[in-house]
Amino acid sequence: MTVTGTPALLGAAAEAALAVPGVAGLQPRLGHRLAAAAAPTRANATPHRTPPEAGVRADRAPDGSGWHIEVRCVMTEGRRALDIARNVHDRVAATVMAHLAAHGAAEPVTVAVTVTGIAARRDAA
Amino acid sequence: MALDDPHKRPSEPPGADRPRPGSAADEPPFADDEVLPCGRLLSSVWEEAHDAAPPPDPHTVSCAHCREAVEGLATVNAATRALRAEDPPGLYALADRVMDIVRAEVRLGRLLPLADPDLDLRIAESAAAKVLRQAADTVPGARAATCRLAPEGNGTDVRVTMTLDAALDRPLPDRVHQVRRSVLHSAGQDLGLAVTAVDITVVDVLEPWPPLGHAPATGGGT
Amino acid sequence: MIEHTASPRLRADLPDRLLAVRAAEGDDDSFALLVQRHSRPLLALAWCIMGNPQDAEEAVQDAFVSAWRRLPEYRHGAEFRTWMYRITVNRCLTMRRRRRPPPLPLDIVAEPATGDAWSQPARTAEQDAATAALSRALAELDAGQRVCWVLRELHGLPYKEIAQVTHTNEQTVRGRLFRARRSLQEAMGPWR
Repeated sequence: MTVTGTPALLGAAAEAALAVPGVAGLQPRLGHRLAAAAAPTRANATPHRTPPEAGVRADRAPDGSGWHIEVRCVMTEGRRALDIARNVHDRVAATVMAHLAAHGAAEPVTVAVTVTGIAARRDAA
Repeated sequence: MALDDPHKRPSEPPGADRPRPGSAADEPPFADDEVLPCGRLLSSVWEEAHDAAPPPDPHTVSCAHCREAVEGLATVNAATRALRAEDPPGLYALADRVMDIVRAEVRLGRLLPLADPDLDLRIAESAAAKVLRQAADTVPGARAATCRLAPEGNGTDVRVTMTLDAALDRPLPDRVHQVRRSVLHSAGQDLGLAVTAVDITVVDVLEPWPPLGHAPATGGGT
Repeated sequence: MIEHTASPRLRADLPDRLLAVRAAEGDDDSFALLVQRHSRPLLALAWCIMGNPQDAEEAVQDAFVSAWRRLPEYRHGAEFRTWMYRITVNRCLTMRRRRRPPPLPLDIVAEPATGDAWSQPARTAEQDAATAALSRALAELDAGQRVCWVLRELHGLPYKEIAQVTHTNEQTVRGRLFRARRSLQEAMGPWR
């Protein structure tokens, strides 16, 4: 059974992060970026889409005592990056803990948030 | 117009990199070159017709041979003007595709701690630098060039090192002070970064841009 | 996928030199502004060298991506524009060598975009035909001559900059220009 396994966990964490106001998107990690860069680039090629989970990574803590989640996100301009990062931290931690508890596998969770970019707001003229 | 009229470009002073059409006493410099009956080289006469700004060489104006040589290129010149006006297709799609690839290859730089000692929150150097350069740019007469950030000590302190282009119409120390204040303010307000020091070096004079001088000249006297 | 727009706060009056410094440190918005400024002339240049819009787009795209990757090592010895021209010309010539034979027909004006009739003042059929003839004559030129001619006549670069772009000297540039003009004049003879 993999209900508490990585893919479901990553999806839940990504969804929680994206729901935080001020988060414009998640930054795909290197492997996904390389895949995107290798995609056809000639005219009419559709842009390579990476799933949101590509911006989240989940590892077992070294001593096996729980999960360490790392989220890489791009923020929108106009809010303080620190505040958004704190919210992402809190929401992701709560969501992952709830996810684990719901599957009868409550474990300690640590979350790290990295702001990789700050995108201009579309509505800013 | 797809391209500017190259003959309007100011980057090349007329005749600066071109010898005046001289006599062909020496060996013709180019294979297939031709000495006109008046003694001028065909290549030189063409060069002058294409490159020179007024005043024209009085000889070329009065010499029938030179005039004929220049007129020989008239058809090519007319078609060249039309070609210059062609708009290349795919212009906008191209820029989008380039930026898609570039953004997939983002260069993050160092990861720096945000100002929360209890949580593991970080920001990429390139993202923070973009915001801090913009803060510097808000100071009139100043434009940021490089902007590097480095953690200081074991906490969340960060040191900023910036180079600047600055106009010389006001004392530099004032301007540098304004930039430092703007950067510190933005670091706290926009990022939440505990910047302890902003080292600023002015590396270049900020020239008015664009350099063509579209703006009306400001009073010349003092 | 994150939607990007050029930052409204990025100043449009920044000179290329500063944008290149910023882009070298990973500022993609600055690089986007450079792409915006230079893609039109570079595309026109590549179009003339490659002879068709698809190859031209590919060459310029490759040139920009290569520039983004090489920017951290870019010493700013040459102006960004010159550096970009050089990368583009090299890319075009490499692509052409790889694809030869068969020689590419130049169809610069043979297939006008459908929008042309709306966006451009009407041109006579004769002018179109003369321009097409010039394009064909250009395609017949030796690649070195063609690059020099295009940079001088369509882009207005000074001899010195053309020499930097093509890794030659000014005298060679002037010689190639002369031979290009000579060949084009002969080819355009019937249009007099």
